[in-house]
Amino acid sequence: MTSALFLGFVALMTAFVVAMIDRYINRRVALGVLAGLVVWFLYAGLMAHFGILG
Amino acid sequence: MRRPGIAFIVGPVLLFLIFVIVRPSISAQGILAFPLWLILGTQCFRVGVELFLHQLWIEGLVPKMLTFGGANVDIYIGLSAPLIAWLSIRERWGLKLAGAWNILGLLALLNVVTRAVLTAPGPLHLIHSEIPDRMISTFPFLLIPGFLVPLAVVLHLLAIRAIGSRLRTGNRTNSIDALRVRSGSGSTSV
Repeated sequence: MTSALFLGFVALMTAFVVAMIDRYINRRVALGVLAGLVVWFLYAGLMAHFGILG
Repeated sequence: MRRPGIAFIVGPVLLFLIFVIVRPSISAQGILAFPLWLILGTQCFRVGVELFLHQLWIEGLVPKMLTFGGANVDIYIGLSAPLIAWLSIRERWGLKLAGAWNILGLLALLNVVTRAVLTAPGPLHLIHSEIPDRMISTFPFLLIPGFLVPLAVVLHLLAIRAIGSRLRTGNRTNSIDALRVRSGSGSTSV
């Protein structure tokens, strides 16, 4: 339950950051940031899944 | 031999922060583009992070010292963020107060990050609390040091530079700057 809520919180923050960049800078930068964050979340998830983090 | 563990998360985060700090163009773009009140007010997300840390303590994933009931004062930064954001656009002393508040916010982050690293299992486990900090190796909670802490640091750095430039120029708002950037006629040399 906590994990699901936390993932929702992270998704909300990600959406907020990307939306603000889209609003105040431009869409190209916003999509770049979104892509970078998705890759980073996948990396972090895989590292934890395979037990590399300890 | 103990694995480096958290270095796989903390290392890239540190590299990213160094990249943001040493690339003034990124900060200048952020300073010009975003309203200061938005940069400051966004810090209220840290209240949510603190509530999750409290829940993780209840579930036995983090020691009490990482929560607001222990030695983590981050929640006060989050709670005061809307007020500081409001004051920063009202008066010049509000800008100075916001500058000091950002320094305090960075120190609060440094406090909790240091404690989190030193209580996590691994070669840097120097503080022996009632339970080790297992959040840092548990998905999705590793996104606290992996995403939410860097976000807070970047917001503080952007705010400090924005406040510094406004105090130098005497300009309290940057809505005109934001319009200039969006229309492509603004200068990015702050």
